[in-house]
Amino acid sequence: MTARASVFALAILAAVPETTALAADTYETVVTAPPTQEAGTAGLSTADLRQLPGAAGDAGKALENLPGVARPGLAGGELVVWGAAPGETRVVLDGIEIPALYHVGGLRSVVHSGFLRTLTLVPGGYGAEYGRGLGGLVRMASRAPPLEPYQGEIDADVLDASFAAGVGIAGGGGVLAAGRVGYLDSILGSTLSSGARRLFPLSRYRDFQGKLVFPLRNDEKLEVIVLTSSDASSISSNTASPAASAKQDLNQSFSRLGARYLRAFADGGAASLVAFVGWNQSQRRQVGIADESIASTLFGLRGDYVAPLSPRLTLVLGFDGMVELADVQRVGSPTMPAREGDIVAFGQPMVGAASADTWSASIGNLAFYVAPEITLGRWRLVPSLRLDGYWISPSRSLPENGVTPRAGSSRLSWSPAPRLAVVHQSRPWLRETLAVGLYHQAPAPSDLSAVFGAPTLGLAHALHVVVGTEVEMGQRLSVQPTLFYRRMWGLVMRNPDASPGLAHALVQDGVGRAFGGQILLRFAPHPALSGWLAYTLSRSERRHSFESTYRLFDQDQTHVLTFVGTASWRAFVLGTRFRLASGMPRTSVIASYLDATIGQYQPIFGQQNSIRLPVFYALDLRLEWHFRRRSLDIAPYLEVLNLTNHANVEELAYDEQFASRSNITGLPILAVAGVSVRF
Amino acid sequence: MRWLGFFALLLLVHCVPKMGNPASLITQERIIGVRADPAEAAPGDLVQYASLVASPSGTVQAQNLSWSLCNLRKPVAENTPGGQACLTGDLPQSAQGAQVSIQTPSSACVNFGPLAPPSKTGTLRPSDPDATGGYYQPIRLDLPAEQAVFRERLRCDLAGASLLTSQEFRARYTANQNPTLLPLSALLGESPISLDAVPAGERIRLLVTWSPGSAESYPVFDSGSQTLVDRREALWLSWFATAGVFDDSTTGRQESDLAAFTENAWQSPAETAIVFLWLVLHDSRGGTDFASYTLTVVP
Repeated sequence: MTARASVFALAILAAVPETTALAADTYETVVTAPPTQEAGTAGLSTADLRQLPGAAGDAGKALENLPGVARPGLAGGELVVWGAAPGETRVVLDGIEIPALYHVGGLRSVVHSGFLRTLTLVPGGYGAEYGRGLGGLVRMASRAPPLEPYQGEIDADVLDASFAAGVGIAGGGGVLAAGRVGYLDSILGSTLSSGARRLFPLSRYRDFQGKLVFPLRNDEKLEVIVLTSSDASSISSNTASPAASAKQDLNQSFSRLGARYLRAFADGGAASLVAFVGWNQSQRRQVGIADESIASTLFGLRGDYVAPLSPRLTLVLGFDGMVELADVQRVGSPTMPAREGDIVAFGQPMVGAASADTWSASIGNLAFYVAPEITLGRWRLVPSLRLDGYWISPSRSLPENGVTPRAGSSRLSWSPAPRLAVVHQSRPWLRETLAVGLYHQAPAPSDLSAVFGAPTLGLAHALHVVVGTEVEMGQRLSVQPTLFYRRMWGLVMRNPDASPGLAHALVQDGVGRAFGGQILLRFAPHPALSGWLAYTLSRSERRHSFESTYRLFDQDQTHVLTFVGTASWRAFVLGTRFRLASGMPRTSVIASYLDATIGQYQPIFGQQNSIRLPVFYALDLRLEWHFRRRSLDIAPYLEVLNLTNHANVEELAYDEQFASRSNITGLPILAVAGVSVRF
Repeated sequence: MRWLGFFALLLLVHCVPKMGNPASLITQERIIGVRADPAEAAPGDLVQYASLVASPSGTVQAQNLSWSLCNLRKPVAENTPGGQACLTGDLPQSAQGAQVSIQTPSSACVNFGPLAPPSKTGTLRPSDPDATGGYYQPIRLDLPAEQAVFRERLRCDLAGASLLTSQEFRARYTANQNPTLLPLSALLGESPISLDAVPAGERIRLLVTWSPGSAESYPVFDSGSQTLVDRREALWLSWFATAGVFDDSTTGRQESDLAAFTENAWQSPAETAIVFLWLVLHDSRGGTDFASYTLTVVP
């Protein structure tokens, strides 16, 4: 990957990264944060990742330390970027869309770092070649097979075991494979109390990535890609009372089988074609409360052609399509599981229901885009247009009623998504960027139920505005301040009406906005000393369209500050990370009442999201020692997490009567030793 | 390896802070139970309601207890049984006293049942049944410093089912009956003891049984499969006392558990005392029974 100098550059390069992928690259992963600098100074190598406390060598986890990303909760796994809901951020690997970046619980990402060449986070304002999401974009590129006959790594720790290996074949072909098996639940499952298991699910996860590269003619190759991931977790709280016992099972998996054709032309142009078929499965079961299973089959096809028409004009043409055919079954409470905007208190007794629905939903998107890159002196402009066609077809428009035949609906709409990216290189060391764009997102199949959702849901929309500068101070220091604004409308929310219409449990009148600024300061004053300081100030809000005032988004974090630094001396590497983040909003409980029918207390809530968890901060250190024995690279290390032993509050807990409140705190100071071996 | 820390956290969160008094300890006047007779009523039926109000000085006949029918529907977005509007809104008082009679509104199955409310703008969404297939009319109870909601189970017609299934449901379904508590037994080890002479500072086993017919069987309409599914009531008992400490505030039996008793351990006070003890038995269709006892703790 070459320059990713800005949002603008991302818009351009996203269409042509495969040209660089034609060459075998080094065995390292690069994590980039837009607006980015030139490759080599902007990224994090795999080696850097190993020296970063908290990431555990996982590129996806390292992403959480970039600006614009909210600190995930303790049992997280959700990526909140610039105030967008996790489901609004798209994750793409080699042009193949996958449903999530992390395994359940957020312990690991679903793609092994050894499989990746680059991992790029675009919080907003990305180009016309991607869509179907209102939030950010996580774009991953797999690495090429190694130049050496073989290369690999095997890692094992108390969390999981993993491998990544590659075999190179003359001519640029080869095989890559990586995978991981988690066994945390086997180690801890029997030792944990039911209370602990209820709070934090232990996921049994596994994933596999495979890639076959067939070199064809010069500058032309074909790749076959396989991706799989599965998670299973169970939380249970067995109490003496049937009314208070709880059990939740979660199983989800995805798999993708794709093929990618890449070709680079002699005139500097490039073309790519990606086709994939995929399957998503998800089952969430809260015994006696709710049970939902979703099985989807997906088909994706995308292609692009980059034509350098003149030194001042490069044209990118492409199409991007995906169809999801989903079968959904759901039984139980319409309010469980909770969704954004629901008011709940931790430990609140849940209310079951006997509602049920079985439906299918077909959602298709086919987009055509054109993105000319115009260079005018110090200016580069990319006025791009994406024309999104959406087809939404739920199988049932009304709830099942006796022997009444089911009747579905189908609708097709075309929505233009114009976008503009501008870069002004005012000085060799100073660059200003602007990105504006319109984005659309189809409803989730699970929201198209006639009982639990609304079959009439259509598209949600967002407007992104991103303004930034990038100041390069030699190779040693760069500063990237960025301002962002995102406005969203047509968001899907619960119907607040006490008497909603039939098949309208959800409504599409949500309005949201997220705005703020971030600054990324990267430094490398010495080859042995590097790091970055990232700070994001933001506010994300939501409301129904008829409401006059906004409330805080459930996962809003006003301040997120991250400092990461590494220093090496001889064979030793010292890594440090300091994080400070505002606590996420919570709704206060102002009183309670007895539900005399079941003998349990229920909370009475105050203003929604009117309080926050206390500020989180933690300092982590890591000391690593490298040495070689025969062909092995051995690196024992010591990590000290939460060095200040600050009692960070992860959740608010209430007593049985919701009369008093206390804090559930997180990680204490902890020293951890380990060793990593590579060959 | 970082996640070794996560292990420690998992172990730490085992220590979710204990705070406040357990719900079983009565330190002030509290509504702890409501029984409706009949336990399941059709719209227009007159229902007798009895309250159980506990206080540190024993059972209170709360003549100032206000009963208010709530006819405000709960938005789908709310995850509480009564709905916030029922709790915070001004509701006309339906009755006052410790035991009252209230007529179930004739529109109850429309407001809170499977019948869609009338609308000029189109068909409205009916209420969702609970996991037992039941619909409930909420009634708010107010004391000066205490609030409770009781939900009277409604007998409404089955909706969303075929004619045959509806007929079968009507033929097989029997309205819920309140469960019946049998006398409390106390044991020290395996030896029965008198409630008038409970030894101080001891761990007392308390055993409660209920009548064999308390856990009733009933059919539930499964709208997914459009069939009737047979279920059996779960029963659970809430324990209350003015002193001492229970192992659990609530104990009981799952649907599949046929045992007709439940047991709890109670650490009696260290000193001589008169302790008031209340038992409130619930079934999963909203039926209730309660009983009160006076225990004499002796050295």
